[in-house]
Amino acid sequence: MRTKLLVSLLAVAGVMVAQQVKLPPALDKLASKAKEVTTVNLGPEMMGLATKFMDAKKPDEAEVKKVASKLRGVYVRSYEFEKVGDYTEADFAEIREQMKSPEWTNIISNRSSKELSEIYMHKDGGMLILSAEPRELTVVNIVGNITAEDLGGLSGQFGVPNVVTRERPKAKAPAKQEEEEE
Amino acid sequence: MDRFEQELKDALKREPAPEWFAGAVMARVNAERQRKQKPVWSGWARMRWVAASMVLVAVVGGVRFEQDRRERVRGEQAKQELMAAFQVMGMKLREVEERVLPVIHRGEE
Repeated sequence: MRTKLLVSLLAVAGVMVAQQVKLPPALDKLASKAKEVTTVNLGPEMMGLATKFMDAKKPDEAEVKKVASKLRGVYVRSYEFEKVGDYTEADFAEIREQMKSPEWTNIISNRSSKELSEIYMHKDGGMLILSAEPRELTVVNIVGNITAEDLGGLSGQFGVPNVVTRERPKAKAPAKQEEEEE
Repeated sequence: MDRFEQELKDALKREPAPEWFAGAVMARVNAERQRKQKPVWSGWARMRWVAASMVLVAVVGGVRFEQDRRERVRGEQAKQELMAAFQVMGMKLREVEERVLPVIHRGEE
């Protein structure tokens, strides 16, 4: 019985470790070049602590608490630079290399001449968001079991797109967007 | 009987104890008995134990309070960091959506 429990715990720990992306040291070195830096390192212990101090009775914290209780870690690196070229693709190449593992699936990839946006989902529920703009580089790694419904729950407070309840725009909408793009 | 013998005889002559003697001895015996029967932690000893216990409770309570305070500070900090992380995540997902959705809808038509 104990062996089974231990094996289960190790398996869970293994899954969580697999979902946690190894952020390359090159990424942290960008902080010295950036004019604005956002760094979040919340491991399992800090996630537990953050959840503990959220009040489920407060409307703005209830949904966050619900989602956060499913997570085992949140890691963010976001850099805003003064000028173009302060970072290169090589700085986050190691992250993309890790995403080639069969455990990760690239669900969205959008690349233009200036920007790169990619979202990866781990087979066990983790998520990675990579956004590279001329003057901004952001990496968000969510470790834990996060679903589209969970993200939808955060839509009101944090502006997360609600992909669950979203309705398709009417036929004319794309034409309008094209006009705007022009 | 010479004078010396008479003096010796007088000195060794048995005399009854004074009336107060027995009462004084018994009073002393009773006092001694009562002193021995007193509990170890009566009086000052008890006060010392009470004081030591209060100090112990105060120290343990203080340490616990400080631990709770530190945990609360760390918890609040973690909460703020989590909120900031969700803000960044929300912003980036929205940006990705704004870029990708038009392409998807165009493809569907």
